[in-house]
Amino acid sequence: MFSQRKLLCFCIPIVIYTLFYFVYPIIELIISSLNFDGNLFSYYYNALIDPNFIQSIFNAVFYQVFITIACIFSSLLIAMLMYNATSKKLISSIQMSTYAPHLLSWVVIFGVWNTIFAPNGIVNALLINFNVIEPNQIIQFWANYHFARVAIVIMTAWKDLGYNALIFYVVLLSIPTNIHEVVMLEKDTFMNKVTSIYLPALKNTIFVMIMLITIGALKTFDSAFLVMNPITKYYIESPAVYAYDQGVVHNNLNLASAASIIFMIICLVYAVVIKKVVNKYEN
Amino acid sequence: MKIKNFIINTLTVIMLVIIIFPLMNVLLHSLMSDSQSMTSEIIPRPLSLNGYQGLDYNQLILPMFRTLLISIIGTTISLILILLVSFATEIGNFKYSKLIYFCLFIQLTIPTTSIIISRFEVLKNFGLLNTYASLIIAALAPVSSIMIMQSYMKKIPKSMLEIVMISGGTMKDIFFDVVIPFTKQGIVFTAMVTFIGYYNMYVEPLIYITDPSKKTLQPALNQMLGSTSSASIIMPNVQNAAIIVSIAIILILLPYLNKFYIKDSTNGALK
Repeated sequence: MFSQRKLLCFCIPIVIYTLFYFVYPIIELIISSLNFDGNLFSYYYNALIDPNFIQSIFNAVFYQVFITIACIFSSLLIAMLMYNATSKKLISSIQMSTYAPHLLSWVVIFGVWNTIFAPNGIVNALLINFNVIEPNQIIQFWANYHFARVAIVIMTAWKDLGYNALIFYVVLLSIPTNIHEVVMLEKDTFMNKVTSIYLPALKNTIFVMIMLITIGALKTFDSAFLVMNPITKYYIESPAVYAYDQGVVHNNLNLASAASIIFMIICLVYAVVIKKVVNKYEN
Repeated sequence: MKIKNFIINTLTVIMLVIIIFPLMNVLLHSLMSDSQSMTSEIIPRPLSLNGYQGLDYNQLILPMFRTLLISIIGTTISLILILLVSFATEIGNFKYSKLIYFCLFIQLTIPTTSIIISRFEVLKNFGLLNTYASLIIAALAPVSSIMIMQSYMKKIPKSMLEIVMISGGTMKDIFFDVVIPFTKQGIVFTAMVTFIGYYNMYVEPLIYITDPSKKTLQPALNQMLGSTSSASIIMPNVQNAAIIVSIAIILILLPYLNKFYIKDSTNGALK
């Protein structure tokens, strides 16, 4: 039909790009993670006994669990509100305003939340106003790692809220109206609607979304990188940030490569397990 | 029933306020005068443009123009590549389209944040560090954009293609007379998504561009926001004004993108 040679020319740039920017770096990564002078896997060993690296994996698990919970609950809430709200204008405005943060960069997201939690931000002002703290003991929120971790979770949920909520909302819209009538005859309360209409209808979508969000949260980088400071670094950094820190800042390329590969294997294993679970669930 | 609607609408309004508050807070802070911005008040009194006047050309505006230029060039190149690839796989019946899908699969599965250090080494070997080309490469033809484009191309009726072919049209005719007009919306949507990807890029410029005279927007903005403790103190109102200026273009694109996104996801759900 069409000349295959021409079509090949159309596709070659993408193939070259993939080789140059994805495959070649991986090969480079594997080579620099191996120690050819002594024990081949000594850098892997060094990475695995580094407490910072082990802690970074725990941090990633923390983000994964709590980001998933926060994202799913907040977007479910917004989707149900959107579905039940009667004013069209209200629905479109909440949809648009929740979608806006999704398009902003992490630098802006952090800047926006930093304005709220800054030493002269609104939270400190409110705390002083209600006599929770004295004016001379202003809280430095970002220096507290408990707060910073929760902040990363909240910021991620806020950023992706509109994106996730719309997916749930669209599924809710496809529920046939006669189901509503049946349930309303039975017991006309909001909670009853949630448990007997919304959640059953959304079950599969929630399941898929949990998969997607957990895989995304494993790769947390920008948020942790921006929130992190020397005091909270140990409890904030994710494996990707650890690799960046070792490779670029401390010029410890071999260790960083080994850590990246270990983490990549963890991600791949996780993805394979998820895929198996999904297949089983579908059957 | 009326009370119920009232409760739900009020709840929605409350959620709306909570969600919008962080952005409104920044806007309000950017409109404060220098002296007021050091206090912890929320409402600017009187309204002042001090923050916007305090923006430094070299610190923010010039990096922003650089980023805009890189984004526009990068988006154009990406768009051409995306159109060609999706044409080959969706319309051209390319014999080796499995190869393309394999490439996309590789791009999707490799966690990009983990290979960032070896990408740095690769670019160093090719002498691409401190060049804008490295940034154009960094977000070139993202998989998500290719998928959007492919889904639009799938919707072109096959009969249209056959008509053009029977009447002796070449590949060029099909591309310009059928594919481009039919996927106009898809092209706009893909372009906007790719553009925002370039515009919001933070980590790559931070690592690849070490020359301060070539700094792009996001690293420059982050430096401004974090400089309260450094030697040159930037007032909070100027910092917030910088945020507003840097997101202005995205807020302009927001209604269009939102419309496309809703359309895209409703179509997907109906399928």
